[in-house]
Amino acid sequence: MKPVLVGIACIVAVSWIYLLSGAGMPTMDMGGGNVMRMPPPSWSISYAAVTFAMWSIMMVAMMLPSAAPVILRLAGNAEKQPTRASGISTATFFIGGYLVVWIGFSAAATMAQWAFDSAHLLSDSMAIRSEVAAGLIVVAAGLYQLSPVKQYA
Amino acid sequence: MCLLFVVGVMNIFWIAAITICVLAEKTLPWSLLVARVTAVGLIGWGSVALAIAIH
Repeated sequence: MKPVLVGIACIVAVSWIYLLSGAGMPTMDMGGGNVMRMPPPSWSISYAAVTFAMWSIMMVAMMLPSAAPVILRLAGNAEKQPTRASGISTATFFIGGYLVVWIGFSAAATMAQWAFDSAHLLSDSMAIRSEVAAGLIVVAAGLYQLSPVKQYA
Repeated sequence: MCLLFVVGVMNIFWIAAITICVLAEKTLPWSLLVARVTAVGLIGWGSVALAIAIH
């Protein structure tokens, strides 16, 4: 149990350190938590790769902490079974499966970011320029919070 | 997560804020309350922003 907790804490710490160091994006710090980037003239393979890495590591940093209690419980249960599966291997299995989902999301997010960039819809701080689109996204997020889907997710 | 496109993808403040919201929602016993409070906040914020944008 304790190695699993330490392992999760290390993964989360490393991913946050990576984020705080700029996540490999060519950026300038504007203060107040905001970051301005050097917008690429067009997306190269390496920029797409770095963007995908940024999204993936960001998802690990943001979502793994909330999954930790469940994973710790599953690992603890596994060690109590008669077959006595190792808690570490059980935890690795579930963390891996969980991260696969979020890495898939990161791929979609990278493509969305590419699409926004191609339409010149993203500002220097990687925010949507269209106020209507931004407002719609926020309202949609609020409605999602209320939807029954949340009860099972 | 789509909120990140609204506030700026690498906005560390919002990344941390969303992380804490998700953590609160998943670990605290009153997760339904957290979901409802954030829902109201988001819908309110989005509606105001839309009203200003369309105005």
